[in-house]
Amino acid sequence: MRSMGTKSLQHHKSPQPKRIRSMVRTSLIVAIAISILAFGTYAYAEDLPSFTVGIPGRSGCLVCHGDPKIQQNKTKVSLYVSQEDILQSAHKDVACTKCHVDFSQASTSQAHTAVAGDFKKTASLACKNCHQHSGMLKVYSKSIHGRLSLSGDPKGGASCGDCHGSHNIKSFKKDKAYKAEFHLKGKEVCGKCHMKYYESYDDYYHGRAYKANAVDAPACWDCHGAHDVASAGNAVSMVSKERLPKTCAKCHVDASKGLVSFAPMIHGRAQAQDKNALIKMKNKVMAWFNSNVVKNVTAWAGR
Amino acid sequence: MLAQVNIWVDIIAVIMVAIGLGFWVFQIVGNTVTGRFRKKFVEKQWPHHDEIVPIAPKIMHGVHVASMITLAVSGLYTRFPIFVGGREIMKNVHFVAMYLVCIILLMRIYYAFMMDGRNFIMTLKDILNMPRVLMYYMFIGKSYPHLSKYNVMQKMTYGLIFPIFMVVQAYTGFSLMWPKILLGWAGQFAGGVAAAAAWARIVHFMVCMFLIMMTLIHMCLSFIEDYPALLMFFGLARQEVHEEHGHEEPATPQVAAAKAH
Repeated sequence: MRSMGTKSLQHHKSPQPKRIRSMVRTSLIVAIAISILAFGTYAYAEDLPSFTVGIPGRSGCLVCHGDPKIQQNKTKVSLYVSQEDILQSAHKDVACTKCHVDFSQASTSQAHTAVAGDFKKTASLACKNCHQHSGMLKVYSKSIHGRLSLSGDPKGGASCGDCHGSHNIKSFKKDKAYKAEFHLKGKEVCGKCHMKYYESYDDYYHGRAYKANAVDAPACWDCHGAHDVASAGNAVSMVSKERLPKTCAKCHVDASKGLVSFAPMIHGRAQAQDKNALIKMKNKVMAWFNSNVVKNVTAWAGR
Repeated sequence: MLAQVNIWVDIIAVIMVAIGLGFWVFQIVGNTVTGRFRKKFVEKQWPHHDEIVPIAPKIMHGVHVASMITLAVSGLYTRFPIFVGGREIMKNVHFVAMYLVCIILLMRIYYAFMMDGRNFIMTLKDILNMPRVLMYYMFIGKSYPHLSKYNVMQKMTYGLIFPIFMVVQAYTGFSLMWPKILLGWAGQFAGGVAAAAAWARIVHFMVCMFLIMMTLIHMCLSFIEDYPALLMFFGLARQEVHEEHGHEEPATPQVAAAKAH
């Protein structure tokens, strides 16, 4: 009993100052860490308000580019790359520099590019470096998009990435659901540059059906072509007068000039309506009614 | 050519629906002004019937109504898709309703041959009676001679117009599914099978709009002329039989036999 009491007394006497020292030390470390984190982040945020610290769990370029707030200082263009998109894409195992071939670690002032240029354009033309698309590239380089894009025309033609997507690119061959989903993306794929034409795509069984997500309605590229797209006036275009019957025959059995007489409706329903004699008359009557009757009645009611 | 025709087709479709709806307005106003509404709906002076309508034609009529409405809605969606994502569903619904209508049409024709076809046969008397029937519906005449179960306009509608146009609908509809088989003959006139199919689609749409117009008129007259029969036909009321009815021709052989006794 006695020895036990001595032991317990010794235990209370000697370790107390050590414990206090250790507590003080721990508190100081915690306080310093908190102030570094708080003031450090504040100071960082002061310098670059739109930029935050890289998030753990991401590596490589995504340490910075995985932050939704990252943007170019001057242009405010977002430089964010969704990690989710990357992981779901066909290129999830491909290093960023495989497409961003102009990447230079030495230069960070010009968006990491070795030469000041359009890094997006460079990346969107990098597909040919890996994919055995030599035949497709040949076709593409003759198309209106290819000629503009490859010649460095300031207007720029659509390059691979502009239509197929970039970080979220998926495989048509492996992902059939994506192929079906892509079929309905005419507005995003072609409309972003050709919105006027997309809006005029408004006939009954093609345009309207397509815009109502009909899977059997043709997307822009089904008629105009994709890698071989050419302007309609060009004889090689799939929608030129010469080739139109063949293009329509992709869906319509035995398409001939008789069927092609419907073609002006596909992008010109509104114009065809305006040409109609009865609709012209109705518009005139409505205009007269609005300018004489409605106007007078409104003026009279407003007195 | 096809482009302008399609614009005209839309205009004609709107006119046909306007005629159908206008007919309702015309009949409601006319019946109110001439006092026919009061006689029918207040004084209950409805037409008398001398036989109970069997259950079979009532069922066929009910299924027919439902499937024709389904066909019209799903078919119009194909031309005017008013909401996103309905194409596949509407297409399948259209096919199911189409097969139903075809089966009912065949059954009704068989039933007519076996049972009540006589009601739909037009006689010379009927044709001569036509101006008076028309005048009655236009509120120029007060009545018309009651010759048989159906008047000449009804006989024309139920016995000729609807069956003929339904056959046209079935043919043009099936020809859009199998253009090579059913429109091969028309290809040489239209400039190819695809062009013939485009014309078949126009005919299909026009006939659809015509049938919608005729149905609107049929609904209006069923409601105004014989509301109790309308309820009875959909199983919503019991039918009353009046022996003193006596039109010139007995409705069916059964009634004729009963009268002979």
